[in-house]
Amino acid sequence: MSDDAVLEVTDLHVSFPGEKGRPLAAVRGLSYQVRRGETLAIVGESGSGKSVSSMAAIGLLPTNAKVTGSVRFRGRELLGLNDKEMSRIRGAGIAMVFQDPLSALTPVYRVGEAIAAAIRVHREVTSDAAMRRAVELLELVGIPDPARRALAFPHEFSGGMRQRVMIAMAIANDPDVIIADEPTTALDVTVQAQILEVLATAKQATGAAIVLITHDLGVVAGFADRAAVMYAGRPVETAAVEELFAAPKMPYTAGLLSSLPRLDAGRGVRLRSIPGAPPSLAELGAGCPFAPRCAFAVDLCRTTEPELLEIGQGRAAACHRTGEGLDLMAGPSGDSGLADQDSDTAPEAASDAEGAPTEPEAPAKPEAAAVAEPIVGAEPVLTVRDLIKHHPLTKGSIIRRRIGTVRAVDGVSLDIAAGTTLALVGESGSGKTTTVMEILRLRTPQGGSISVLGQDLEALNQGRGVRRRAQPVRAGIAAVFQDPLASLDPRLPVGDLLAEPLRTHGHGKTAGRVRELLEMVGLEASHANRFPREFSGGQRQRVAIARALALEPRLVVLDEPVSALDVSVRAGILNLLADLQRELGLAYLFVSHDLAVVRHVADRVAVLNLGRIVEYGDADSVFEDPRHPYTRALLSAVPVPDPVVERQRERIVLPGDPPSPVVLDGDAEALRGCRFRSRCPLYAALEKPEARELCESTDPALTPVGDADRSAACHHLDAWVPALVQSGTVA
Amino acid sequence: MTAEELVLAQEESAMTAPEPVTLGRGRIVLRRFLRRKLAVAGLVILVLMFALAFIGPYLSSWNYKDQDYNNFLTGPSATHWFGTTQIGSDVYAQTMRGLQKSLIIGLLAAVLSTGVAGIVGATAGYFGGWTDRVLMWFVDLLLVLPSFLILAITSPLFHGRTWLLFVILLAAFNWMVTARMVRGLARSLREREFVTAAEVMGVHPLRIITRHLLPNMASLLIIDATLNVGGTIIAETSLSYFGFGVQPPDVSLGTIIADGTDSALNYPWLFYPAGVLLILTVMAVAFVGDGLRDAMDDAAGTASSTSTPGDAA
Repeated sequence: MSDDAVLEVTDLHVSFPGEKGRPLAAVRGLSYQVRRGETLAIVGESGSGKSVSSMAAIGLLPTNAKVTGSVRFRGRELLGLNDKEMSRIRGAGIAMVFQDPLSALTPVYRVGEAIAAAIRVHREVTSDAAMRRAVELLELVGIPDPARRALAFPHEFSGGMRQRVMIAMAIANDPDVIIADEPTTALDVTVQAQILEVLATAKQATGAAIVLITHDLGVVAGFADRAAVMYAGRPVETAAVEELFAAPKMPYTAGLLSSLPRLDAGRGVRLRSIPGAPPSLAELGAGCPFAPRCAFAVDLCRTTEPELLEIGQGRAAACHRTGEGLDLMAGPSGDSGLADQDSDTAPEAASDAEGAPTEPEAPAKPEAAAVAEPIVGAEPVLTVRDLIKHHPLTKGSIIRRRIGTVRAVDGVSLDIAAGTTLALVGESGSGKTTTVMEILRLRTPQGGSISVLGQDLEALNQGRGVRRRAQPVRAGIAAVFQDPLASLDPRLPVGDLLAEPLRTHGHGKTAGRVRELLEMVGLEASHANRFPREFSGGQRQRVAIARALALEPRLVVLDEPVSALDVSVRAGILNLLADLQRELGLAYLFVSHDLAVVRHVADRVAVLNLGRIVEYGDADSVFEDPRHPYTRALLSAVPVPDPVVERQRERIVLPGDPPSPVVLDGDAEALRGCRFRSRCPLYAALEKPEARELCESTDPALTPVGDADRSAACHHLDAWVPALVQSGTVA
Repeated sequence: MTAEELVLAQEESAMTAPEPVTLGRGRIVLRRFLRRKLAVAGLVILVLMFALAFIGPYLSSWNYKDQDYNNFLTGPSATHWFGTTQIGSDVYAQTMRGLQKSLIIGLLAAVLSTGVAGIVGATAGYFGGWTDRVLMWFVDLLLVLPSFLILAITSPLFHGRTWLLFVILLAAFNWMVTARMVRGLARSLREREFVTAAEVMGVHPLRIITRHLLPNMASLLIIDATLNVGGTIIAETSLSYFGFGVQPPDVSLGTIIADGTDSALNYPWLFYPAGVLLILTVMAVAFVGDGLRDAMDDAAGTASSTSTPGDAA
């Protein structure tokens, strides 16, 4: 097998000098081979060593890194080559695609020049020929009007287009290996689908092997042939993708797979969560690094680290108990595997904390039980009608003149009943966050009306003492933001953070409530004296959730609450949110771009595009039978972490980028008709001119669909309904 | 989380074992500050300096105003521990008197100037809009007006008043540049999510400034205050020209150093005692400032670096 391998990494070790002279081992013994035309995925969470290993392979690590082992490219040893020799291979033989294309492209070069320069570094061609080739490459990666766009600068491109340019540059010299480091992580889901297609095209055009580094198992399932799962710097399982997803042999892989929220699973299914957090490299002990989080750990695991052993054709796993035929996906019979604890300081607390359906030990409020089940016709905690938020777009620094309008939110109506979850879904620029901030700031809306807990904001903001009168409303609504490290003041200990809302709202004694809150979210009372930085990501988000709950709110706004977290701790947070909702009767406004997560938590869904709701209704019904073409495209773009399903699915890839909500002054054309039609596959497929004319002339309003509880904004709702998610997999 | 932090956490939980006590930020910062040897040493030096400045004069039989007509410009001896000046004043007595003045003037003016800079800058940066424009206009005005000119014009008004006025004047001409820096920081901090989080919780704007903005620029403020201590002690001499505060026969470290600089090589005793005390003061303040900064900023390494090493398994 190794004879036709283009890139062969054997026993790669990378370490950095750590504090107190102890080296930090970032990669410990990674081996893999890739052949031409093959895609190998390296999967892992932050700190697993997946990026460092590929940087080591192409010699791009800082000089203080110590690299040992062997990296062979077409039989030639790369480790130990000097920078000049490596430069000849980098870009020509091995190419890279980075996560953030804006920082990877030099801002002062036109993209065509940049690609041409990449060609001329390795080949003796005239600059004209190189430029012509650059235009060809841009066309290959799907950049419209490539000859003109080649003369544009990187900042004039959108994120997705920049990533296409990066791919064009990567394939410029017909490389044998393309290393793609999280190439789609920074992109919207519809753009991610496009970029994966472009990568596939690039692979076909060059016949190169692709090493795809990612944390997204959905992408792996759809795109890779083989996968290596890394944990704490070591590969813990390697297998063909189908086998990996069907029968993982290492408890970590199994845990990851079963903790993923899936688009094709039903709502409210409890996720299995892996307790604890990924270990830091500085604190690795003698045993298996996964043992503290592993439900199957035996004494041997805590003393000896298992070797990665071959267990079949192209298959290897690093686990002492591989041969025992355990059913890893089913989980152990005991409760410990299901524990939601994510505190790595208290493993004993983790094991006896909460089992599958928890006994609510938190002080249940009297009304909590009453609203546990969403009651039909329950009083709304939030009502938004035709909300509008436009900001002027100005130009010039001394004399500002208005050149257009950013129509961030352009007529949004929402209702949330007590104790239920409404999810707000959309791509970047769709107005999700603006909508949420308009609600949270409790100001008089620019247009339309907002009523929080029965209190109309316009009435609230009139007259005297607004601040004082707004306090009870503020106490009833709380927020959890995306990145807990950013939303928790780094200079305040957790106790003070949790006490802040209490003190703001005039509660004198806070110590008792702080302790109660910490326990409610699965942390310990002694954590109150620590600072946010001393916690892991999942624990920090628990602190943020505890702070939101301090005043016993009735509505909690969750703005992308799990997007910034590692995959293995997401499930714990989602389960916690579900438990809290049941125990405290909370209503959630859940904002997310991740449809799989939304599928898991939402009772109702509102799909946002360009500041408008295009589809609104019961979550089950929207996900199983999406009616608006945008919803359909969004759903089909989300990768399902199951290679069998993923490869059979019919995909609707939306052309172009998420459009910008900016409308220039005097551009009446932009406001005419349905604003989605430029990307709409349905509009493109319409045959009758009068049907197209309708889309071009009239802006569709939300109209009821089917049962009374759903609505969608499209003129041609009944035109064409392809099956998007395989019907058999819908639970 | 590192093993050391675990140890630290265990220590903390052990200390508060039976009923976990939630400590506020102040208590935690104090505890961390006290763990830092250098910072505590700085604090001890400062306390000793104050003790020296106020008890020291009683140890010698000479008063700073006295003149010994038998000894002009004599070196250190049993009667004059640090020697005498050109007009026969006892250098030890003068230095002690100078230390008294300078410690109070330096520390007070530094804290005052940094405090004003912090509050004005953060208010301007946080509120933005008209508040920002008016406050920054005022800052710019003070920056472009030559402070010495104003002093020269107004000096007859203040002549012969208390030293406290002098401290206020010193601070008043010193805070503007820092205020501008603070404003810039506040503007970027205002966009941070934790400020948004506090706003939507309904925290009062002034509380956001004092509780969230200022602590998050503590490094800048502490460094600024530290530098100001040494700076004001020296700057005070130049203001003395205008007849403020320390006037002969009264002395400060600044005036002693200014007078002694010319003869530092020939008659070192005129210069060195005051110079060494000034250096010690500024160093002690710097240590305290450093310790305070580290205690507020919980960078993982520094928090645990002084906790029992060796326990870390």
